[in-house]
Amino acid sequence: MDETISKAVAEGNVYDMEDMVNSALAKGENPKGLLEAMMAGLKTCGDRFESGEYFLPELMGAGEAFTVGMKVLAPKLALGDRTSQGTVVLGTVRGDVHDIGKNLVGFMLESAGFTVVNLGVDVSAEAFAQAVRDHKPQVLGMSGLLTTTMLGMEDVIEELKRQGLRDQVKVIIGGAPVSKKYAEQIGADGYGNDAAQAVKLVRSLL
Amino acid sequence: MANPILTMGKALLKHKLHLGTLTGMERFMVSAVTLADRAATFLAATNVEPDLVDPKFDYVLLSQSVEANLELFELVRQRIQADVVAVPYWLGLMCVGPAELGTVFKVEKRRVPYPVEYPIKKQEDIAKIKIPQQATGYLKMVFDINREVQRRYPDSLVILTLDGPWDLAMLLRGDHDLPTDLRIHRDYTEAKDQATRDKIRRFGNPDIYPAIMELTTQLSIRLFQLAEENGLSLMGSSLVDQYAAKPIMSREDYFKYVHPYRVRVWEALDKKVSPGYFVPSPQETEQNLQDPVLGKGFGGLSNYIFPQTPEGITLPEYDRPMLELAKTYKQSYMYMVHGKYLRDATESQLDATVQRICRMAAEVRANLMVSIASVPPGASVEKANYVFRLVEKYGRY
Repeated sequence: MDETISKAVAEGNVYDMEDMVNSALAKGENPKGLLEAMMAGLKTCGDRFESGEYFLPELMGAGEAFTVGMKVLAPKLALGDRTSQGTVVLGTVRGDVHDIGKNLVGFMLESAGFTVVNLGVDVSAEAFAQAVRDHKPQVLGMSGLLTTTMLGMEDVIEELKRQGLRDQVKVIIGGAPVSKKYAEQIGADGYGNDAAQAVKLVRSLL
Repeated sequence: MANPILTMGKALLKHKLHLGTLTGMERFMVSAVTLADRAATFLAATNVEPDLVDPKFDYVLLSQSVEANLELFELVRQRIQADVVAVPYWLGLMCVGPAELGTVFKVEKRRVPYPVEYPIKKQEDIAKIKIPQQATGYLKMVFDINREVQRRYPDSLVILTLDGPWDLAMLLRGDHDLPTDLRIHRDYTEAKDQATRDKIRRFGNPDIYPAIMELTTQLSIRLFQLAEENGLSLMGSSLVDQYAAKPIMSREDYFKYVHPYRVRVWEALDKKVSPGYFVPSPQETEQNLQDPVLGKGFGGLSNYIFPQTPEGITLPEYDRPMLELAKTYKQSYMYMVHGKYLRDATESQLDATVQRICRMAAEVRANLMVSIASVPPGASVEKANYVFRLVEKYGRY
């Protein structure tokens, strides 16, 4: 594995990624191997965040470095080089614009090889349901940071039921005010206490 | 509040000479300097969901009417049995002034107002935001409400809380773009050579972060000045940058890229505001207490952002070190019962939690102040009062 590329992603070296990936390809390195190195870099960054060594700017930098590297690499990858562990749709529920926790969950999942569809913030129940139709995820994750907006999670589950989609997707919830008890109460399949638990939780549901 | 120094002096005299039972405010004041008779209780009224008090109150009404806020505050004061009930307005983050600077908030009946659009999209937008000459809009509402509370309840505590440069910047730039701005600026500043700096410029603008922070530093100073011009005292006021903490940024980045701006605000206001800084551990709390700026003022010891169990209680092993620090530094440990725990815990669970922390405070002989972080939907005013009664029962030193 190309340790230099892995380190560059882990350290959020956005600025040199394009040159580094191009240079590695020019030297004849295997695109799939480079992708694995970039994924390993993301994982290292995620681990460092989990252990309190890295913070939000570092995570965002690693994510950006990965994106820059992928722009170069994507056309070179063969079909099947990038196997996804599964698809997860994420969003913050309606009335809530807190982005950070959800994005951290997205980062952790991406670094573990999942395809993440991030719907952003202030997402309506209808938009969640539409995303389930469009992307056919294995897991739908909802985030909420406010005790008032978290109540919208139940609306999303009801909307999935109303549209006959509930059985097609596992639903997980997270965010400071929610709890295992609340997850059970509204009929969610799982609850994560923090971003670090997200990968384990999603894996346990698949 | 009447002259706080005088009130403090009288309270201390009453306590030392055993001249009767301390009032809630007196207990609060005494516990700031010495061991009071029992643990104090505190509630920020704004953290009680309005419709739990009376369904006629909603955020639309409260964002339009000074009188509605005052009426709701009076009801909270009547119904909540805390030693001190403060923060008498329900305006969400509009209370610190961003709506008047261009941030667009959505105001709905049953959701606290929240920002949906930020005015700084590119560097040119920074110059469009002018330092206000006078308080207007929601900021003026907050000042008017505080002033009226001071007039109606001279014995009440008016805590002026306004944002520092980082939190204001988050509200004007957004919580996605500002951390990115910081990273680009940091990488540029710390780059070892010009070639790297040139590369960084291809990916972002390293100048936007200091330009925003310069603006918000001036804004923060001015907002506090406006508070004074509107008849409020800066004594006991707080300069808040709660989003400049972990996991948003490291302590090192905070000291390099945020703290210097906060120090400028603090100095420009003659060091009258408390520039507290929330941290997630007793170790960092101690570092803060030893800092010449962060160690100043009230509220330095709090479990506000400490790691929690999935049920929403601060990790129990953190409490004794915090109480030891409270004793050493002669301050109170503000132990927050988080809204999630208040909502989900049974009465016997709450009993065990409050009993534990109170007994520990008595053992350590350190001041404890128990506060409820929020009274959310699914909880009740009665449940909040249950917690406060438990403090009265178990909190004797």
